[in-house]
Amino acid sequence: MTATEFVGRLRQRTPALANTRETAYAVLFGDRLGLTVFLATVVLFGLVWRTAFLINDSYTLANGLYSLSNGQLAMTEAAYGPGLETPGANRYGGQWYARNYGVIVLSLPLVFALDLLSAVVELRIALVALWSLALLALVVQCSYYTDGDWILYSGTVAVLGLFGLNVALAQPLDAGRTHLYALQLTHLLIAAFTPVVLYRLLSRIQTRRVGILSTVVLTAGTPLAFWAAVPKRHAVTGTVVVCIAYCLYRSRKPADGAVIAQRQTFRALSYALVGLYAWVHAPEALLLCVSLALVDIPTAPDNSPRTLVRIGVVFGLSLLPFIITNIAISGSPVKPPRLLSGGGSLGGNTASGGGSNGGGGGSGGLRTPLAPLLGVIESGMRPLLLLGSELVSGFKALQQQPDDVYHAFMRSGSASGALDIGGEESVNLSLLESAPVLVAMLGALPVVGRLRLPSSMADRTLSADRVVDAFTITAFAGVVLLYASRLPLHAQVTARYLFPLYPLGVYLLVRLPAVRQTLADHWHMFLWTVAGTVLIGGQVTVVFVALTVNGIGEAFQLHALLALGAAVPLGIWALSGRSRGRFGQVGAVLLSATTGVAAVFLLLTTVEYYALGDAHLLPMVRALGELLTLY
Amino acid sequence: MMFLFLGIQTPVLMERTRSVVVAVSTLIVGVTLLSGPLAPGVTLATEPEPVALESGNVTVSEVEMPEKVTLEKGSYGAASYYLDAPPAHVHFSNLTGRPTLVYELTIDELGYSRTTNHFLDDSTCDAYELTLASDTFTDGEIEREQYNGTVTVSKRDGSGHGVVATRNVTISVVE
Repeated sequence: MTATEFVGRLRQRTPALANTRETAYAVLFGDRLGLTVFLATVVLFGLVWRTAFLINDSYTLANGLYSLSNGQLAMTEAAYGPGLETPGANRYGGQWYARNYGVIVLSLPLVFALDLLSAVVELRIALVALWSLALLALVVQCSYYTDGDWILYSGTVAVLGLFGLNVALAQPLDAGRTHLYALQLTHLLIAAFTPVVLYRLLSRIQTRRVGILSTVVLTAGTPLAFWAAVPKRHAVTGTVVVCIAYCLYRSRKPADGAVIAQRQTFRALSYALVGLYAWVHAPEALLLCVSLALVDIPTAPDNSPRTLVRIGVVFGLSLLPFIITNIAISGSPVKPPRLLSGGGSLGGNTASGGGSNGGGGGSGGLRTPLAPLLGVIESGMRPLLLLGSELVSGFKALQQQPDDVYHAFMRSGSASGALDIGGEESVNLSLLESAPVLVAMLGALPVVGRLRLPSSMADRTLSADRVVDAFTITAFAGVVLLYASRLPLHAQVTARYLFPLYPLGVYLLVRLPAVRQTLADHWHMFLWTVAGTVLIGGQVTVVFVALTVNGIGEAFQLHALLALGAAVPLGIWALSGRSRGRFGQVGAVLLSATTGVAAVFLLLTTVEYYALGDAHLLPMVRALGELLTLY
Repeated sequence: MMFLFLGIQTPVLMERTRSVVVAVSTLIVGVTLLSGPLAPGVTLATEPEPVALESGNVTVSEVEMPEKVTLEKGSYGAASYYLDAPPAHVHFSNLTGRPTLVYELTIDELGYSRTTNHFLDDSTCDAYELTLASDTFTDGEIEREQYNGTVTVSKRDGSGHGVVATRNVTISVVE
């Protein structure tokens, strides 16, 4: 083939290629704003990315990935951390296994890509270049929304300037730790889709403007960015719940997408997401599955056996990677390498499950042909029973341990004193201290008063947005109950077990009429006050921390009090339930103040409090962290 | 992957945007390629230079050590006590090379000891303030209102290690 022929063929294929590209674009981001949200999020996550281990549990994942990239499922060598016996590692048949195999497998291609990259170029410069290109792409996208070229040109100059600055300050990045970087990159990219999908969902239910503003609340006002590059399940869970909500919404609306022509497909897809997520964290997937089925099946317009079988088949297929991994490791299809993260009662059950192996063996009296089937059902029921008992004990904890609940959800303060962990400081914030904007959910109370319930059972098929509301509320309550009995707990930082509550909470509060109306009417004021809180309030906070704080515990509690101080007036405003005139302006300022306070905490935590040995990916952030000595 | 994003534009891509994007990306990718073994002579990311520590010589002419150290209850509701040791002031009569001064606080009754190393060099002035890094204790560890401790300043230079000064201090607990 000559060069001209080759070019000719390429030309013929261009439309097809362009189509594929358009389709990929529509499927991933929806529209240009979705892409812009994605790029902005990735750029932010890159800024706060530290190439080090924040938490011991990540050693398990890194070692698992290390072994898998060498072709072995069992962990053979502790390439990272103190040894193979790290939190979350499990022993089967004399060998150690990791957990969250879904993300480990997803990270595998990235390990090879990073290894390849580090063979050709210096890894630090390569990652800095990728970050700069993402920033450039963001600048180009933003330039489409403005008249004139000033954003394009000034943005490009800024990109080049920052790239130059980073290269000038660069120190080599250890190319032997690509498994960690690959895991971080996977989580970061998955986490970047939380705001994207939230935008797509809310821009369909509400308006595109409300969709965009909710992504600001989510990325700046909650600890999303803090956990984005941490190899833990949290960021993944956040994305999965938002994706399920999105699929559920689309399953109740006429299909208008690029690829999927039937809305039933979206319904099946929401279950498939749950099935795939089981490969990452089975107990939470089970909780999501129950919440989804509880909301979806009673409200679906079509529950014919054919439809249900189709959904069941898709769900079964999506569980295949999970089941195959389980069989390879523990020999039982429903016994994941690790059943529940917190140990406790479930940990004990996992261990005893290892003895009877497969459930069927336990009921030995039934020697009928049905025995294997009964065994499968029994072993399938056991996780459900476990989940049920966890939820019940969570419910009891809410009633019987009001102090613990108060410390976990409202004010952390001296709670860590009760944790009995020697020398640990008060660095475990409550849910509200981590994301004070969530207090606006109190606005639900005046709404509930005015709510009219469906008049008869004939109305059981809810509208698409009501279905999503119902799912979000169910999942919210489920996550609260699942973890209520364990919290407060050490090594949570921002109540990380409750992480799915951040995206779910932001969705719910934006759905409240008062909040939605306030954001839509006063979006200018909202955005400017967020910027002001971060830029001016951030500097004031830095001065305060430098002058009055002696250590990380005090610093965290200062941020906690600032967050609660901003949350109290917002809570009162939300209870008023009004958004007209002056009320709207006040609401916009309070919403942005709570968002901004959380963003300041995020920036100071990543740059200073948890610098992890100044391991920031971007040399300029590292240099800033070294310059800044606050205590 | 970034090129995928950059390429997705409206059907009529503005020529100007395209040329700017191509130029900047080429520059960034080009510089990146320079960092690797493809360009053996160029080093873009450099390790910070290791310094020869504990070398040279230091003679301390005068030391002022603190008398009182405090353990202060954390502010903002933090559940800990923060150790606050005032700095020791030292004056040098002679300073060459890169010697190290070590400031140490020991509280035997708590089984506690803390050192902070200060790395001196030519830019250090004649008078120097030795600080001690802050530390925390949990509520359970602090049972008394007062403890006895020792602060020590010692030096490490080319001629070896040695204690410069030492004194007993009272550590008072401030609620």
